[in-house]
Amino acid sequence: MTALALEVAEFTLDVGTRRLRALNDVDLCVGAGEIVGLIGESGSGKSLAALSIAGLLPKATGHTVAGAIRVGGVEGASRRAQVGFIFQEPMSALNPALRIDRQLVDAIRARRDADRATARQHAATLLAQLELPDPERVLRSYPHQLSGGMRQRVVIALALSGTPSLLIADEPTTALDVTVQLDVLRLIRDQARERNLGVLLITHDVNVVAYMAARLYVMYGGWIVEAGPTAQVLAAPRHPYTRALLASRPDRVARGAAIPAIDGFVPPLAAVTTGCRFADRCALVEARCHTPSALTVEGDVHIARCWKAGAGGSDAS
Amino acid sequence: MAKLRPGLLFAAAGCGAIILIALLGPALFAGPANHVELDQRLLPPSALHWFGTDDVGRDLFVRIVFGARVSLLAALSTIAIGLTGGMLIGGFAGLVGGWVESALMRMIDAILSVPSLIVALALAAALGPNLRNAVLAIGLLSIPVYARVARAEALAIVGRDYVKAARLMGASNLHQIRANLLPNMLPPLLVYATGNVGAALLATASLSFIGLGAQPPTSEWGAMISASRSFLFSHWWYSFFPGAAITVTVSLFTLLGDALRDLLDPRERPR
Repeated sequence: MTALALEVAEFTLDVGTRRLRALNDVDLCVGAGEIVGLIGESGSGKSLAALSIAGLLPKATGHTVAGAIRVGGVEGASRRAQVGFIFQEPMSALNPALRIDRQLVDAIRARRDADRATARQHAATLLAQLELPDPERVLRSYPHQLSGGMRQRVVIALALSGTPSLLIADEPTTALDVTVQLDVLRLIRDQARERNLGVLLITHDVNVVAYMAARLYVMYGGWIVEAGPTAQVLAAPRHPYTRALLASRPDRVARGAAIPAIDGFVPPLAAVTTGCRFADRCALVEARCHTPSALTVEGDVHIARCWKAGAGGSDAS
Repeated sequence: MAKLRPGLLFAAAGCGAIILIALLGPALFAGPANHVELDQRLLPPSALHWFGTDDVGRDLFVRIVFGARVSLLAALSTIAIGLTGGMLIGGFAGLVGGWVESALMRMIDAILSVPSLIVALALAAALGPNLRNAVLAIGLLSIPVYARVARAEALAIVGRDYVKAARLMGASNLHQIRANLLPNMLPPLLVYATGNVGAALLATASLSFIGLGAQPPTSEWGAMISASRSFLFSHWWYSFFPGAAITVTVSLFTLLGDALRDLLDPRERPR
């Protein structure tokens, strides 16, 4: 078995000067060449998890309480070299004051010993692999001269330029035109296969995960509440939150019918709760949901942090 | 881009003319600035001496043209010092953050709380009264203002994803400053600096007026007004024309700075 692209083991994180618990006991892994989805709504901790994995959390902000993160088998600060990051907003991921060639060449030379000419050649090859027509013209351009889809391809090129073992894609298509979203997703999938890259795909779009990912993690309130093979999780969700999330997909609701929303909101970090973070919004809540034991993991391949998960698949309406 | 406003055109043309005069004037208008003709003392403006002559018979128009070069160069030098220093300190503070940033910025605040012209006066006096030291003193004391603006710009830039991406790729602080911070910080800071040319010119002229800047034979505007003090009521043109030169130049550069800011910064554009 090859080394895992990403291994997060029992990772717990506090943030800010008040040390609020933001991530709890996060277990997550991505194999080489595997695409894994991480879904959750705003405030669920998915972006924080991504930044922690990449080692991009400012020291003053994040305090690791427990657990370990290993990327491509590497632990500690040097794991950054193993991560390529695709950001949500391609305009802000590129320096508006510099031409693309300068940015790519700098990125390539930061990771390997190459003179400018060789690095530029490599940059052109990289852009061509990402199906950018006329790489020479793109290299000579400033970011504002490119379209959104082209910019995102350049961002992917930047992420790949360091030959990472893990690609983190944080909402890679949210800021794009619908017409180019599919292109970019397909490109990420092809590159992952060709380069044997692990991909952690962070999104709130269930359709994107269904299209891309073999496995899926669902996050809520800093906990991974459900995980398993994508097809299984989507067909038979076991955690009430996942069920509510899937029910609220607009494309699954009959035209004209009200979209079932989840009542309430994600509890703020400062809210002190014991037990399940979803309990206040859950339709199936009972007294024992407020005890810590409600967070015990149920299941083996397809897991859920809910004591109803065992029977949950069947009594879902 | 917004259409060019008449105000901007006017200010740009005026400033351009002054810069041209400073660059070419001394070559165009014959006669050295310190050409003394004792039988031509304190003559009122005439066709021969447009702005009149001073108490040793030097032509005031020629001296003001020569003075444009001295005063502008001095003002731009103070800005170059302030901008460079401010950008380095503010950019570094914004990039590294944490207690280093806090310490640097509190220091900057402390310096800002003292009236800078008074400190510049003391500093110039301590260094020795000449134009170079006056420029140095004013330049150093303008660093805090630029540092604050630079830090605000740097903070906004550091939050962008390309800075995170560069950090991921192992970029050093030096590389971050060179490739990501400076190119994106410079345009807004230059606009801000343009608005400060007037104030810088006024500050150097003030020090020269007090006697801590340019020393007498130098045809610097502030020094010229200083020399004209005893003739203030009897020979109006002696102090009027150098004063007018300062007023017009300061106004035009301030106008240009404001117009540029309105043009480039939509947040502050008046509606």
